[in-house]
Amino acid sequence: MRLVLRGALAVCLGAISALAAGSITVTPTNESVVAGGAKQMTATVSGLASNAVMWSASVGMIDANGLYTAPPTVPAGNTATVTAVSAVDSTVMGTATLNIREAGPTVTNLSPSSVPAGTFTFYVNGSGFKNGATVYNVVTPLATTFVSSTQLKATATIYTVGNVYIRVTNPNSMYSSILALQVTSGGSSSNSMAVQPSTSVLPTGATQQFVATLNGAPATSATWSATAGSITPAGLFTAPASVPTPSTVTVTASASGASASATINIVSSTPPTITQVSPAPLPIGIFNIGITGTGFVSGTQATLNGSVLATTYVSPTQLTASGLASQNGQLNLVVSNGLISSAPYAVQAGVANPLVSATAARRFLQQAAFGPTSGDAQRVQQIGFSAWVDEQAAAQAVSNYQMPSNQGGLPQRFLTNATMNADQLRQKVAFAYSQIFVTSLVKLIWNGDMIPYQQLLLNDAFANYRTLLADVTLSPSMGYYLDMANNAKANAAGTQLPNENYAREVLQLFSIGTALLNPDGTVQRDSQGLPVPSYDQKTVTELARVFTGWTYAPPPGGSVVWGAYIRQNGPMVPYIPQHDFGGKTLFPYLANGSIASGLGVQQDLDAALDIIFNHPNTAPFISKLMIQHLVKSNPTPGYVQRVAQAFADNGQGVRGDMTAVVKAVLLDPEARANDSLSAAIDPADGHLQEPALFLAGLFRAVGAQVNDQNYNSYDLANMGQDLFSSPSVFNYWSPSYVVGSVGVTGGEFQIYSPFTSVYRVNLVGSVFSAYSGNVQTYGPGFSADLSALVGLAGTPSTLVDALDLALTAGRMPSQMKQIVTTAVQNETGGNLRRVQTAIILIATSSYYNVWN
Amino acid sequence: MLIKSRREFLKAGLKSVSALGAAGALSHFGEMNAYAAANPNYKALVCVFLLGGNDGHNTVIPVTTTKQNYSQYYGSRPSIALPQSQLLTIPAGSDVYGLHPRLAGVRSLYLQNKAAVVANVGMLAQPIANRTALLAGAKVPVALYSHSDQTSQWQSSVYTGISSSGWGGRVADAVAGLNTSSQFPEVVFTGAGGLFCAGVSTAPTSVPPGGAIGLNYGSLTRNSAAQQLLTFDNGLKLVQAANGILTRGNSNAAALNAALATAPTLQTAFPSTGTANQLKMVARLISIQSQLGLNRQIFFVTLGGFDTHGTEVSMQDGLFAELDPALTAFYNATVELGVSQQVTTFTCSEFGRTLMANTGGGTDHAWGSNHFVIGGAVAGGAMYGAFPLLANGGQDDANGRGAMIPGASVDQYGATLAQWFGVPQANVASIFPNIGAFSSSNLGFLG
Repeated sequence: MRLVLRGALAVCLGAISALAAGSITVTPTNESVVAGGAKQMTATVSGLASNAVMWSASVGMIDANGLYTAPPTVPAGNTATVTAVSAVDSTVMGTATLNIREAGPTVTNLSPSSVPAGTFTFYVNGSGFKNGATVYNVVTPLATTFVSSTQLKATATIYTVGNVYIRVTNPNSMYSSILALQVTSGGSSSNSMAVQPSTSVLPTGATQQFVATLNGAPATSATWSATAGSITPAGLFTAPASVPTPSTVTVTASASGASASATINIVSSTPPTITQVSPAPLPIGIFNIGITGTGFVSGTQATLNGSVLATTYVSPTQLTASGLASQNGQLNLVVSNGLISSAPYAVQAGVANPLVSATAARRFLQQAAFGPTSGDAQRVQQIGFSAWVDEQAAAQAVSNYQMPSNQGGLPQRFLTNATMNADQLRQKVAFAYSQIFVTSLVKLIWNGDMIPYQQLLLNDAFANYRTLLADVTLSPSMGYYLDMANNAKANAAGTQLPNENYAREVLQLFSIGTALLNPDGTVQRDSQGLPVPSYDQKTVTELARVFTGWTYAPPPGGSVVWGAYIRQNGPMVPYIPQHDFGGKTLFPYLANGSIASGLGVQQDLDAALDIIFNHPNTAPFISKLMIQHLVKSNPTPGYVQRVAQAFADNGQGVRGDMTAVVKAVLLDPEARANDSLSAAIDPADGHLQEPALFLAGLFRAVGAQVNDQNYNSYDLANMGQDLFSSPSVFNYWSPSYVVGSVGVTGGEFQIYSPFTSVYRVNLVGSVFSAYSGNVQTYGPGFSADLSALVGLAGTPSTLVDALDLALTAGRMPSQMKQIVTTAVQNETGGNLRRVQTAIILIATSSYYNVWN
Repeated sequence: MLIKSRREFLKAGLKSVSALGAAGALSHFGEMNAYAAANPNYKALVCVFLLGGNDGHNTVIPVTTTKQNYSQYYGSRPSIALPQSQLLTIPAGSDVYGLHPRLAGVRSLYLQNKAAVVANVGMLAQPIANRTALLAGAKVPVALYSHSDQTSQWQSSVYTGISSSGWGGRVADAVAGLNTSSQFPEVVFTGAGGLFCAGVSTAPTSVPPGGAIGLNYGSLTRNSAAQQLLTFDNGLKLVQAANGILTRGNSNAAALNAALATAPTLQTAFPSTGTANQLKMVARLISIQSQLGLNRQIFFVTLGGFDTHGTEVSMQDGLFAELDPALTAFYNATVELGVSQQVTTFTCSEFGRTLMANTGGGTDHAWGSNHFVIGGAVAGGAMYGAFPLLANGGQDDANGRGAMIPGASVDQYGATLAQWFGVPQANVASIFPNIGAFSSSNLGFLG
């Protein structure tokens, strides 16, 4: 469905509204076709006047009858998208995806071609085998070892006598042809034998008791043999005194004409050692570590505080291992060669003596950043919330919007910045500003007129509000967007008055709002319960007179031209002949609510902005908005008041210090309440992640690599947030929007419709849908390597724990955890599929979507 | 408050315009009569909301009327007045008005008595006779001239601004019993959503012009777990709300797609614009009303960009160039579907604009404005409400800039539509809580 939408959108330049009625379904989809091979495609048309369609394919060729021919070599990404567009309505189309695979390898014979029932090993001979090839019993993969391009070794356990059918794939290839393998009773018509343990690691000179079963019952009469070392008639094996070559010993038990074998890897009796682990400390969350030491063998197993880690043998002195660390502290790492274990090696998980817990740090970063990453969370744990805010505020901006194109690309850049860059708090605050002090490409059109404005908001993220207000007011972008640029004073006859657009919205949206507020942000009401207005039409008309006589700055050396078209030469400049120099009364109810006549153009503006800045509404108004954008939709009045106090005075007598405001927002006890895992639930808590936050947060949580080639601009638009193209100065959503069904405020719900909510779910499914390979891609600008998660997927509860930490800050309620874990357990498509299932279920859950 | 409609005059007038394009299209579809079996118990309301505050003063212009002539209009906004020669004249009783030159389709429908003008509608807390009464302290709606507040009030018909439901949603609540099935919501928005759509006991759904999509988790295992998660909210209201929306999105899409699979193909050609695409989807949803079990449907269609603070004349020209053909095509589609008598389309906008122009060739936020109602059931070819005196600082001006004190309230406008839709008069006050403040709950434009 995503592809259908994207195709239609590409045709109509991103306008959702241009999608047409009718539908086309293309079949088959998700089937495989060999490179150079053909596949007949069928388009089923409904709701259109004609069934005629025009075919196209992203790679390969397709003829007018839908006969698809794959390219001769497998294309990048392994897939082809086949599209059928209605011949009568080009906005209606359907697509199907074909997986293009190499031809399978050639198989010639099996050696042996007849094997005894039980666990057995056989060789597949043929040609074209590649490293990573897999031998299958029809569809069941068998343990396969790549021997050479002409031979594979496979091990299977089959007790059913008769023919089984063996075939082979190379990575991403089609199947080979089939060869029959005859499974015999091993001399006796129905006896089957097994030996346990079937594989083991044993130090030199050590003993291992083997147990043989015949048809499931203990085979006490079995005769035993071993290819090295010795074994008693009772099955007690003693390893040789030195490591044999090869190191593998086969133990065989025979009884009643049946036999079975076990393999033993003989290792030195000298214990392995660990000399170094990197990185140190281990990050909290999923870790991948390198272990350096001595005496490692194939089969060496690492454990951390008794939990088995996914361990890979690299060399006798090098292992890699991955696992999950949930809590800070010292842990014991041990490596074992069977019974011989190293001495414990102390590793530190997370920073020592953390100032906040791993879960609290992650929850904090849902508010102070675009969601947590392991690295950012570690830094928060190390230095604490307050110092982290200071560090972020002091750090230079990394993110920028410089780009070659004058149209398109800004939403993609936003996601690159938000996912990848270290200046998280600066970006998060600037994003909040961009939704308070709104400008939009709907009117500005060109990137060149949006980029300087976004840069301004990034630069001013930690500035004083008064500075921010002045910079916004004199920005050419805002000047154009809300008509303050080239705003002329009234004509002589008084039949044309100044444009009121900026005057009204700077009051309503950027500073004080329409109603008088109490210091805690609640609305002052009159005797009838109606809000007391904070200004009236007279205020707007007077303030519009202040905002006259400004135009765009000329290029260096140029002269000021009244009526010039927008240009970006820095802040707007006065044009004296069009300014209204008369006195202005803005707020008659304020002691200092008026401006004297005869001031300069800049002085007039400064006076007005000072009055607005010092209006008693501004502190609670701006404070509440910042809370709602960063932390929660329904702050208590006390919370608003505490932040407003920080706005009024940063502790050093300075009003409007936005660093102090941001810090007050983030450090308030109400913001931090749920850091405690046992905090009481406030039913009105949290805020819905708007689409931009949702995507950035999800991408960061899975460690995605994102660049400007990402495809998510369309997705954001389809989810109601066409970034940088707000429908009006009132933003995509209003922070005061009340969700009627539950009776609490939830601004982001204004763009969470039945349609956009379903779109969000299906989008997650599309992003995490790779058929094979642990790296998920979604266009050329997004990739996420899920290998570490796949390594955990053998234990569903551990996988879900890892994703709980990454996505839900380690706070996933047990009921939800149980639902997800059960689904992962029930997933039969392999470990990658398990990881995808877990991510999709968590990321699409409403609990995850409402950060709380 | 009504201007008397002179139907005899209009019928006479119609003879002279019988060759108009829309009339031709009408008879064409009349002969086709493809959907003669249309359900006689069916009705639909289609709200077309012009976001930003449309300038009604350049939408319907007095040419020669008892109260004033074109010169009065021109003199009040000379820098942005439309030339008289460009106006598309319409009769209203013995008066002659002119429509904006881009409104040829609406004019054609008006001349066929399928469209009417409702003059100077706006949000009111009580009737206000004139500027004197206003200055004497008449109660007015909260936060006049504010986009967000006036949008909420137009859509909720609650002048205090305190409402979590809209009048469209409440009308849907009131007539829900007329539907034979509840598998699909009665209220649909095709563009931006709005408070208008939210009922107290019913909830709307969104169907973009491209159609609805159902949930696709990719496997039965996931789907089963996701269904469990959709009932899990951990006691958080916003999680509960999100679960509800997502659940509805999925079930609505399933019902809709099943019905659309059997929908007839519309023959009426729609332009390829955002507004036309929305209205085309509305027509398609109307065409499957019986499959959906709906005898009543309410639609909410949006077109933005009307906040014309600068260079208004060219901006409004472009907007009407999109709006007018879309409205015409939609009316023609209702004829094709055999439901033109059963579908009423009406415009809304949060406020009108100042009569006086600003120095930037635009206008600023004001109050009352002129609107259109379209459909076979409309007592068309007439003007309802009282057209104001176009004088800055005049008797109808609230603030000296030509913000017109409305002569008809949103409550009355909505109540008229609601009663035609089947809301019993006794229930009108439960939907429009302030309707009792006005002398009549019916402006008469629906017969």
